[in-house]
Amino acid sequence: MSKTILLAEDDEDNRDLVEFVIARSGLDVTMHTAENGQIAVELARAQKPDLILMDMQMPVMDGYTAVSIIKADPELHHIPIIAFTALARPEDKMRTRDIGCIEHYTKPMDPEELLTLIQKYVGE
Amino acid sequence: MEDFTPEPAIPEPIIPRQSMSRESDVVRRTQSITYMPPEETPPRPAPVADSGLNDQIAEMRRQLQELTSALQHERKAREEVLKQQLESTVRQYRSALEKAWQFGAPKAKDVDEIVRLAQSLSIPTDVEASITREVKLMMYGRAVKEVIAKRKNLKSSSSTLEWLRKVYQISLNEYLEYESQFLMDLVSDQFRGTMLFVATDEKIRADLVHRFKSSGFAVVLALNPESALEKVDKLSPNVIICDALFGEGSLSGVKFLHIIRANPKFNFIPFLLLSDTSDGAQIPTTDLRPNEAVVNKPVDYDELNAAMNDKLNQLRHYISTL
Repeated sequence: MSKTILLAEDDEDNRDLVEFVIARSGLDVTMHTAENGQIAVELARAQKPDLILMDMQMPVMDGYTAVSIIKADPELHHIPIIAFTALARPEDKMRTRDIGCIEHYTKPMDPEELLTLIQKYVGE
Repeated sequence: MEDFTPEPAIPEPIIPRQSMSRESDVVRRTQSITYMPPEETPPRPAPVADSGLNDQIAEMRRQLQELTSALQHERKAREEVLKQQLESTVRQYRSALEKAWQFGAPKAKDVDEIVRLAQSLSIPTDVEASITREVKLMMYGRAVKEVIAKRKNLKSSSSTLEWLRKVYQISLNEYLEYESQFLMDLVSDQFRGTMLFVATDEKIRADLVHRFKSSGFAVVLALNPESALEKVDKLSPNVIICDALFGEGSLSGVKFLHIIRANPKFNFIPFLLLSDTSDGAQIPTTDLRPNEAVVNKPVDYDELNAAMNDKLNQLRHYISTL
């Protein structure tokens, strides 16, 4: 059965690249994209994705706020969220864990690394 | 001595005619055929210079030629139809393959579909293999370009390209064989420099500017030489392409060329003048400097591009010897 991934990312090139990699992953996955945290929360409520990749620094609503809202929603709190961010310091990783992210992936991305991580949560 | 008494003749049975079989009828008739020597065929009359006969022969020849020609036309038409059918079949197969290989090596069920399609289209195995290889490399090449364009977002371009080779099942041999082509493709998409394009003619601008932009040039437009002179100073373009004639009161392309020549800051820039014999603003080719060329109108992109590359290469060579 097809799984759904929601990617919240304000950088268009990064969005394109993640879509590019997932399209070539062989996974049976449908992608939804959001360019800020606010749209991500709305899409999460509407689509109930199986996995969320969340950039932390975005305009309108950042990833920290969006993750907190999703984790506080009883209908969405079970969805695994991977922090997808350029912030790589230990305290940044600690912070994303504290708000409920299950993984912390540091950009720039590597296709095989990212796919291994995604497969952990949406793999068949 | 015994007396020879002939036996009485057995009378032939009387068979009603309507009951006789066809076979017996034939036998009866055959039996009645007696040999007759063939009659001597009368000698053929000697050809005579008969104008009526000559006309008939000429007419027959003409008809024969017409028939031959009609047969040739028919054969060509059949070949053309077959060729078109083959092209259409290959196109259909290729399009299905492109769809299947868009995101890498197709899944097993897609492979089965492709095999079935090839069988239903009666595509020979060697043609099938050749098209598959071509499509696979093309789709891989496209993916490589996309990756290269977004390399700043990647941890490592080389590991990503390695991953892509797995995704598209590119063998090392295939990679090595086509590497130079991939590199050429990539280079052709890179920035080639700034071009100042001076022309009022919409027809010239529309096609040429689009094509030069696609080939990697940043094209800056100027509608007349006066405006071009201002832009030259700001841009220091890598190449100038200029029409020969502009509206009344405007400088001609040749005058603009002379002004550029007089300025040591710009007189080395490759300059291509678009001209035709009716312009009345000609420059003898003997008066051209090594960095200058005249391309006749109507302008052919390939010719202009070749002339420009020639001038750019000359400049590159000159600079490398300094």
